[in-house]
Amino acid sequence: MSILKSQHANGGEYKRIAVEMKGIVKRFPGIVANDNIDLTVYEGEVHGLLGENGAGKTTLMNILYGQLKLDSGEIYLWGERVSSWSPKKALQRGIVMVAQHFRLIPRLTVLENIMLGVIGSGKRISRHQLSVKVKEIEERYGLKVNLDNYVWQLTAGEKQRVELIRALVMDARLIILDEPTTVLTPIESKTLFKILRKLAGEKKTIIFITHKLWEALEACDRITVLRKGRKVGTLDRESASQEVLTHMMFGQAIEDIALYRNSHRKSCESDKAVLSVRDLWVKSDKGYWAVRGVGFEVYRCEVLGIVGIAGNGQEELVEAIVGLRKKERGVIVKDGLDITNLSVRELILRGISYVPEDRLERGVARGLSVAENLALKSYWKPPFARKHLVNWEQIHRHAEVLVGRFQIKAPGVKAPVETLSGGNIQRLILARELTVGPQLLVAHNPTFGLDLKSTIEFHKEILALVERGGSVILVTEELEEALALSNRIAVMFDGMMLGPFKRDEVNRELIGYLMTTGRLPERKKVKLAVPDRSRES
Amino acid sequence: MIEGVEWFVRTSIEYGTPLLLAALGEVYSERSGVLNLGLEGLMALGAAAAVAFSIATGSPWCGMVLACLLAALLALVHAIVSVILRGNQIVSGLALTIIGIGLSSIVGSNYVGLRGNPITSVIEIHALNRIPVLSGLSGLDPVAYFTMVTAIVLWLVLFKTSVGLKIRATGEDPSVVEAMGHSVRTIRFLTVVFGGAMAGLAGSYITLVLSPGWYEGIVAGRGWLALGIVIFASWSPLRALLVAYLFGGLMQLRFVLAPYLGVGGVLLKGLPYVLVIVILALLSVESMRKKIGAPESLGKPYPPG
Amino acid sequence: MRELSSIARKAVGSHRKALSYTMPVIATLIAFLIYSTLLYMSYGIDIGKLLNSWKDTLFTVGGWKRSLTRTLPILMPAVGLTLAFRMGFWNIGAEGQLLMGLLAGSGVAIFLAERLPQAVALLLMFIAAFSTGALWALLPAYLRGRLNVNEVLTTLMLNYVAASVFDFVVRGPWRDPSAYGFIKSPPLPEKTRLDVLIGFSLAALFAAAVYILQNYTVFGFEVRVVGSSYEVARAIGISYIKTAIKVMAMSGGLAGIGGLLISTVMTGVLMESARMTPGYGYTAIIAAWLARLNPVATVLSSFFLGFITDVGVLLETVYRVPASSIMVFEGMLLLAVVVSEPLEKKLKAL
Repeated sequence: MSILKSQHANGGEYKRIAVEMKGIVKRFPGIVANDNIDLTVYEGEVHGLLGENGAGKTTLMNILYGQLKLDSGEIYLWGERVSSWSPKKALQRGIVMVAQHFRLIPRLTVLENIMLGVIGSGKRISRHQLSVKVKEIEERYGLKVNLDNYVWQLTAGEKQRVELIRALVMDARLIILDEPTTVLTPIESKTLFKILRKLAGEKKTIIFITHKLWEALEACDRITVLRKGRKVGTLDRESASQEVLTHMMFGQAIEDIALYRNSHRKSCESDKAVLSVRDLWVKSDKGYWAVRGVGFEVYRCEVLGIVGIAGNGQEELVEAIVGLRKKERGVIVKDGLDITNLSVRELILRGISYVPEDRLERGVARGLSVAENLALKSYWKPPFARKHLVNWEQIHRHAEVLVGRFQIKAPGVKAPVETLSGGNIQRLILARELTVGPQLLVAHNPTFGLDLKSTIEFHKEILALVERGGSVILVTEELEEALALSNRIAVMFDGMMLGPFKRDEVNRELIGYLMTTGRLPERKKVKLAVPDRSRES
Repeated sequence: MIEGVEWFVRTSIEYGTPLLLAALGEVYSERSGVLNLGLEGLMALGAAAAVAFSIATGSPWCGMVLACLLAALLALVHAIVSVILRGNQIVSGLALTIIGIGLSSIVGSNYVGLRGNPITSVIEIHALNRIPVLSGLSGLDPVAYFTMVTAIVLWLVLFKTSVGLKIRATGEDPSVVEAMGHSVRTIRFLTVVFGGAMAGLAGSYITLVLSPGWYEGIVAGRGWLALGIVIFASWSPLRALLVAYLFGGLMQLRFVLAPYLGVGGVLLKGLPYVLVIVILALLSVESMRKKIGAPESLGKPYPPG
Repeated sequence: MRELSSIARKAVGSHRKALSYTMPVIATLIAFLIYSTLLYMSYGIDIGKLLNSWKDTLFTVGGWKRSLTRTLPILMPAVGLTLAFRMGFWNIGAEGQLLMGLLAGSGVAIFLAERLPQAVALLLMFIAAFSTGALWALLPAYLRGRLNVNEVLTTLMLNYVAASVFDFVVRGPWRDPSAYGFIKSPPLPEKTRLDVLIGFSLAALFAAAVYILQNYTVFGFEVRVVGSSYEVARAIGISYIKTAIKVMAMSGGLAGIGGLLISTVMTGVLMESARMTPGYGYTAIIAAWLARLNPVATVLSSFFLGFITDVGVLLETVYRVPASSIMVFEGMLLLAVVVSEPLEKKLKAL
């Protein structure tokens, strides 16, 4: 075992290298996810792995964790070369990954979930010993949890805590966290960073994957930036800044793109609401109230952004609007017509389009071809169908047109839709939803997991739609996206809606505050964005 | 009258035992996420093989064990197809049933009409013999008692040991289990083969204890009933015990009422099956899906796609 | 060792297409080998005797007619099943739907047909068979659509219920008292009997109709959408329960007609359910899968299975090998289809 020494910026301290990855290459059909990447992580540091969606961060860590096999390269852990790797072996060596989608089983208790991990690493431990150990960890790091709760009862923040506790019970030496703050409120994120500091202080090594610049700056000691599968460089926190990191991540300084600069000017003035929601109450799957008395209007030529931490009722609100969920109370009116109890099909016919959050589950039908998927919202109408018979020629021709216009990379319109990559599937969904002539587009986290180029494409299309006279309800967890595109912004908190506020009356801090606390700060007073009634004659 | 009740208790247990054995095996299989629709065929095979082996070896116990192994072997095919090749579990199970029934007729046809080497020994629980209704629990064959004990043991294993934890976790979310370093394949493979063995045991009970002797169609849909029992028991071995005995009693109801019904008695044959449908419908209305509900990954191959 | 496996992989990959056509043939041969080995071990039947028993079936007109007769109750349900399975609705209840259609249609034939002109009688028989089979299939559809009750068990259970209802009727109210201890109904009148070729033409027409329905109509498209993704179907406004009811009505109805063909073409009388059908409804499932859910292809697969069923019966009459032993062969064929799907995917990846 070799102990490598290195000079650390903090003054010549000898630090052991925990992880050394050399020349990692990983290919998938059509793409090189990791292109000759080197990574060095020291023991006891919080190391950030920064890059936009699709840069290869998760792939690299999956290789480190043993869930993916590398095509070429070498991995050294604490000086020892690693071969024939697997998650089981990784666990035995003390490497634990806390992934974006929680690796927890909702129907089992916290204790059972922790036990599952422990026995996976080959240890045998009794329930009693386990609860003793958990108590220790609770006292040491302040991570509290009730062992007898079922996981489905926990909030996202609590679930993450369970994963961390589990990692510590398993005597983890290296903890990899993949985009941990996606599900946390700003305050919970700060708490997390404090905990990570504590862990690092106790000689635990942390690798922190994120696509958010400011998080890397705040939480990490050193930051490695990946771009398009390649490593751009590694910096100490002191040498890093927003400008430098942006440059490394995207290859150019991202100015306010002209695209976004004018987005707040409405291309048409209109007092008439396209959609009017009044006193809406909707229940969640589990039976409690997810949307509580929400009311708002959407006007022509505008983007209404709805932000909030996941789980505050956005999903149920979206589903209610597009007709997929029952409205227990309340009224929705479109262009003067009560649409509250109309079916999904009727809403589609009235010009309401939907880009769902889970694209693969709800947006495209696996097992059908690209052309068939493009026709999902129009197959029953002429010219695609006449008197119950389908006109396949028309469908295929239309599909070809759409594929060209939206640059959907596919092996042909008859190809099964599963052969498309994530970005292209999103393009397909967009192509379909935008071309059925929608008056109102409802999009839920539409750019989640997409790389920058695809994200910008999508934003362009939305703005184009609005310019043509349509309206967009953009429900998103990416605050930046909402701030960049919306004419008005509302915040969902605990099932209730705050706002909508005019875009130029709010800023990021205020919205963040609203998202976290659900109320306005005392000092600032913000006008609700309603049309000026004095103009009515 | 009391004797009638005692008799009813005893036959309910006896006729419930093969249902219970098959159901217990299927509980484990489904708890790990694999649906085995081949129970009927596996039971049929076990039934025929038990008679054949018991005559060939001269011992009903050997017959039972060998029948068990043979059924496990056939279940191995389903395990390979569903778990390793990740094929369609429903159709694979159906194929298994068809093959099993076919095999059973090949094996059993040479032994039609023969009593075979049935299990005749009986265990008396003297303490119960004096108590009115409960004495029906005494004097059953050893396998029936074995089954009761097995149900309890299987419950303990499933809910109180780490083996059971792994099985339950696999049925809920195999990707999590895999990430924790366990092999979903191994776990599912073993539960399916175990389920097959139990089904074989169930079949052999029918021909070595209940009948005794084999004839074509002797299993008569009990494999399918066992599937329904697993659902009513909400995948719990202890509840399966109660439900299975209940159904055993139901099957006997036909013979109790037959003298009063004449030809109409044939209709009662369909009663257990109607009941399955009714209870399935009732259960779905009261879906308490969070705690009591099918394992999330049931029927879905892992890894998907 | 690595080089060997990559060479093997390349060899397989380049001959992909040829392999996907020969695989079913290879599978059939393997299944046949296993089956004949079993027969030899248990009954001493060697291949010579086995092939001998086919001679009659293969080389005589009578043999072909027999196979064709047996094809009908397999083909009709199979056509309906391709629709159900395309939708992802696991209709295992073809056997019960078949029995109920058989019962209702034959009932009309036995008790009403005498006083009616032939055309009317036949029409009523078929309507009765179709609607009864359809009704029998509707309950599972409704339960699945409304309450999300798993249809595998409900359709299956109804098979046994149908058998007990059938047996009750045949033993009871419809029993022919002049039959000297045999349990059977009065015979079907001559005018209600159909020639096997007519029955076959009818079935083939239905197969073509369902093919068009599946691939060229809006309804067929919706069935496929539901089958590929329940969530997406819902999101674009397709009602699962409406689709399920329509599909099951058709599937059950077609199975019911298939059942009626048993009495009008084959037996001319009703007996106990076990003697009317050796499991045609289950064989239909195999036929549908062998045909990869293509209604036109089920004509071929059903005939193949009809032929096999006849062989099975012959083996019993000539060599005392139980007819149900042939199920081993059938089951292995089904298994081959199940296995071929993932294997094909793996081949594609090479």
